Amino acid sequence: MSKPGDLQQAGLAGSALAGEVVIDAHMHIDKFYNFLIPRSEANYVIASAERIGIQKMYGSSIVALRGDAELGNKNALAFHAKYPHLFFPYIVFKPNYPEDADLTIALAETEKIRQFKIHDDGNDLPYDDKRYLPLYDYANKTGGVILAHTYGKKHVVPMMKVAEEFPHVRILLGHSGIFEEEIYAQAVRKHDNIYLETCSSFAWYGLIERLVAMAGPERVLFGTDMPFMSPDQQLGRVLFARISDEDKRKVLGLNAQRLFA
Amino acid sequence: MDLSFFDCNCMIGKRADRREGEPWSLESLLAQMDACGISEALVTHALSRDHDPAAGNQEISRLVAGSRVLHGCWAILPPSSREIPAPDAFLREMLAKDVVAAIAYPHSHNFSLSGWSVGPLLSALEHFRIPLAVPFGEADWEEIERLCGEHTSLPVIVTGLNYRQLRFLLPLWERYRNLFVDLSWFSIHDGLAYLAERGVLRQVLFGTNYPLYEPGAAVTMVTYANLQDEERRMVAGGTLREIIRGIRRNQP
Repeated sequence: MSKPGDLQQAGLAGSALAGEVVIDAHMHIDKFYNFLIPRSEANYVIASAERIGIQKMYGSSIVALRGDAELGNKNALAFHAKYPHLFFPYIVFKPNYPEDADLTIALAETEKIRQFKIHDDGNDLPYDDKRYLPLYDYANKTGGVILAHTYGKKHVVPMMKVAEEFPHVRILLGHSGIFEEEIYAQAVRKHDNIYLETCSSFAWYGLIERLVAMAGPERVLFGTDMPFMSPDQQLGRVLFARISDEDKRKVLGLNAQRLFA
Repeated sequence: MDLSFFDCNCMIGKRADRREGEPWSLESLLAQMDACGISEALVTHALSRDHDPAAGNQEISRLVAGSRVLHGCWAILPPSSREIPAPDAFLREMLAKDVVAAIAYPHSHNFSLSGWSVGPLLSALEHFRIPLAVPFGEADWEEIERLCGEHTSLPVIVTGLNYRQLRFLLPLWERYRNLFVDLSWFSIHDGLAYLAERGVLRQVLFGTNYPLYEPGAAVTMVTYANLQDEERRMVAGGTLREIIRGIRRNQP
């Protein structure tokens, strides 16, 4: 076993990553119906981020993802207003409320937000459904970033179509490699505008190395999914990955800094 | 701070459900433990789960014999099927071979955890205070509740429990101090500090689920946790060592 790098040493010591760029590209605010999430309140989430050394968090409201995008997006904007240098909202777009599409796009335009989150939780509409078109058109015009919740082929294949049809949209595949890894490899091979995001409660052995190998170290972004799960666990997956510290730094924050610039 | 991690949940040997690239050898486990600062581990052999429990039990004992850092964990079956020795002989052999934990796969191995099936064996484990691991999914919550309630001095470790189970677990923890879980998939946001506040931190053990999972992910759940140093040591290995010290090796 080679000598551990500085970042792995930090993980062993539990030291905040001072002096490093650490950006969480996938987190949330609010509560969830399906299970108890203790300490989902803002003060705990902020403390968790600070303990690790996260300087910026890109997050969406769970309320919005479940159904009420109007309420949830307002919550996310309020969180941003309170923590303007730390928290940056994804605007959630829900295709099963097509009557709200204009409202959602107008909110992004007014607030000058260019990052969006989509999740088929509760509606099961495929990501290439025509009801997503207002979002894809807008993100394509503005060069926006869309973080898509993915659990393998079911979600990645439609996002590959979106990447093809809307080449100026930057697509971030959430939970990359969680299942059916090969489809993620195909997605990044075929589409330069697709990126991989790391968070997964399944800490699959060697997955971070495989994501870096399939996409290159510049197209893999660190995410925590907190408060659904522990950011400490997610950080460990990167800090202990068998890749160079230089590549870990890209994954932990440098790539997100560039993508969200 | 040296946390002296003691992993309660890892496996070696060739597994039926191996994902490409996962290591399986004893040497790989030792190298991984070294990289992650893990001092000791309870180890099950894949043969015990995926082929023949009796053969796997013997194989893990052969592989870890004489090791100071690796401790064998044996799979149990209903004594009536006569695939493993009768409870007295089984326990004598476990203790003679320094096996400090047992594991049950009732779902995968098609048996019941009820008293009519493995009651005498569970009572023997309980008598000697040898902990019993039950991987999450191998028994349902009703079975876990009965197991803890009928054998209150048997340390029961539910391994591989996911982070979504607190609404089941917290009511059980109000009743049973002999119910433990491991950290490998128990990735609750700020979870260890929350469980410390709830007074149940002693019932969480460090576990990695190696080689399915990255051990480093479990390590950082402890090193970055918002805990006092003493609490951190307890989760890392203190409680598991206390359980193992509690084994009544010289009891008749």
